[in-house]
Amino acid sequence: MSTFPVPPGDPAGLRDAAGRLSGLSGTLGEARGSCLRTLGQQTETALPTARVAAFAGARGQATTATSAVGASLVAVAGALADYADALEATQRAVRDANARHDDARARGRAAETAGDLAAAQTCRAEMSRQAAAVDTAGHGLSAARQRVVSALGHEVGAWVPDTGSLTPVRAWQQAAAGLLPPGSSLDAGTLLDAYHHPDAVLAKDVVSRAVKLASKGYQLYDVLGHSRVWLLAQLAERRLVQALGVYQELKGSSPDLDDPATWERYLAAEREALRRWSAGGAGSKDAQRAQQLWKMLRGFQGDELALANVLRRFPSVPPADVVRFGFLDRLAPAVQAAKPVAARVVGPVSVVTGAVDLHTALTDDAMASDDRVARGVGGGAAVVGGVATTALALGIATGPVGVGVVAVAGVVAVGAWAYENREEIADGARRLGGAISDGAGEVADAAEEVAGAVGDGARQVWKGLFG
Amino acid sequence: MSFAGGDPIQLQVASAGLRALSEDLVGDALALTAQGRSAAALAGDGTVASLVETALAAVGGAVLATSALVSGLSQGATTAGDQLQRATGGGR
Repeated sequence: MSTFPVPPGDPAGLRDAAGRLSGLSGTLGEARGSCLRTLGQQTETALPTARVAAFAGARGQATTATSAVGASLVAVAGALADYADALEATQRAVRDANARHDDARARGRAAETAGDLAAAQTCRAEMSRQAAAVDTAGHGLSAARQRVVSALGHEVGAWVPDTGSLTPVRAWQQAAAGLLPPGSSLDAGTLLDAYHHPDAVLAKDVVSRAVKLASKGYQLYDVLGHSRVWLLAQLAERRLVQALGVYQELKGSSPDLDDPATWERYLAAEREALRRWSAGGAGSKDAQRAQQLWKMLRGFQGDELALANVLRRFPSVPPADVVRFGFLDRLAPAVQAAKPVAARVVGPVSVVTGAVDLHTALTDDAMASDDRVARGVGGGAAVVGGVATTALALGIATGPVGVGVVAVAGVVAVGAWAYENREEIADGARRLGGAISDGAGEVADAAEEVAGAVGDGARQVWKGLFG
Repeated sequence: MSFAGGDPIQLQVASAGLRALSEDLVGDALALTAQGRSAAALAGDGTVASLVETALAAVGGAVLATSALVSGLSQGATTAGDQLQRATGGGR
């Protein structure tokens, strides 16, 4: 019988769910949005001139919705992953405390029986320590719970504003109705049925009824004036501005990565970093085996003991290679996985290394602060700057709102990839470390003073945008 | 009635594409509600469970509405194509 109750929940399952949502965010925010843009452009070139403006307006609003949905799903996935991590850590801590507590209790009883009062006292102290450890773990989970409740509440509010507590089915109904103009509302009863009995035919029926009510589609063009969609555009844009704000904080005043020449030099340094990494290969077989063994052992034995055991088994492998250059082989699939997304956004190298850098800067507490700043500066520039730059380069960002929506769609795509490959990114960043730092040396020197910027605000944005 | 430009054949093709996209979005909307239920069952905490299901239901509802918008665009394209056909006697 455990002394301390283990908090319920399935962290691995939650993490899987977050991964699926991250995939859906890419599908909706990027693939569907891109498909809609393409089909919309095809339609607009074929429509009579008089119809084009209304159609383009309505199509733009639907694209806005897909982008906002993608961003929302990244945020929900991030919240779930956050909670899963905290839950797992707490469950592990409580189980560990239970084992230590039970052991101390047994030893304490034996000591009392033997009349060894000092030993019994030591055991009681150990039991108290374990109770305190459980309390600390519980506080951590409670803080994570608050973050998650706030993040999820924010997402609900984005789609169904100005409402109190909602049941899921009411949220489904109101969010669906809220996006459509009056006169084309979705039938509440059928919506309810479609939620309780998820069936594609039933749901398609809801959609087709709504469209019939809207006079064969033309009334839907009136969505241009519908306030909800405009709010969603603002939401999407706000997220981009938030991300850009973090980037500006990270970037500091110098060097100016908005300057094309500086930007080129930085990208060249990152390309060189990736080239070095690629050319370096996976190291010797012993190194690979040592890395694999370390990876397996560290979860059970902790980093120090695991490393000592690995070095006993592979004495020829330098310790730095075991830990700093671990998992080289795992970055290769991550780079491959990034290519379809990265090619669309800015080019594989800067996005891949940018995501690596930004993720590492925001999550690696062990890294020296100047390294974190350098990494974050480059990463923010590559990911955020790259997305916006590409949108402009492709000519699809036609105004302030356009820039926001398009760029957020790109950020969603990168964010989904970054989430799905977060382990590989974090591991791969260790391997990339030295080379990128060389290239970004001047950035590190100049930006040291903004080390504090890589703080909670940045983490929140990362959580929101990248899970 | 006069039309400045327009291609009814291309409109039919684009309309079919938009209709298929609308159907895909319906599937996405239902997938989101299913994900909400399944994530809620794994959360272990009543508040988190309820909120995650509600959040994904809301996003799913928005996707369903987007599907209706896209379906409307499809029907609008079809209607415009039909009008062009009648006005021009077929072809441009």
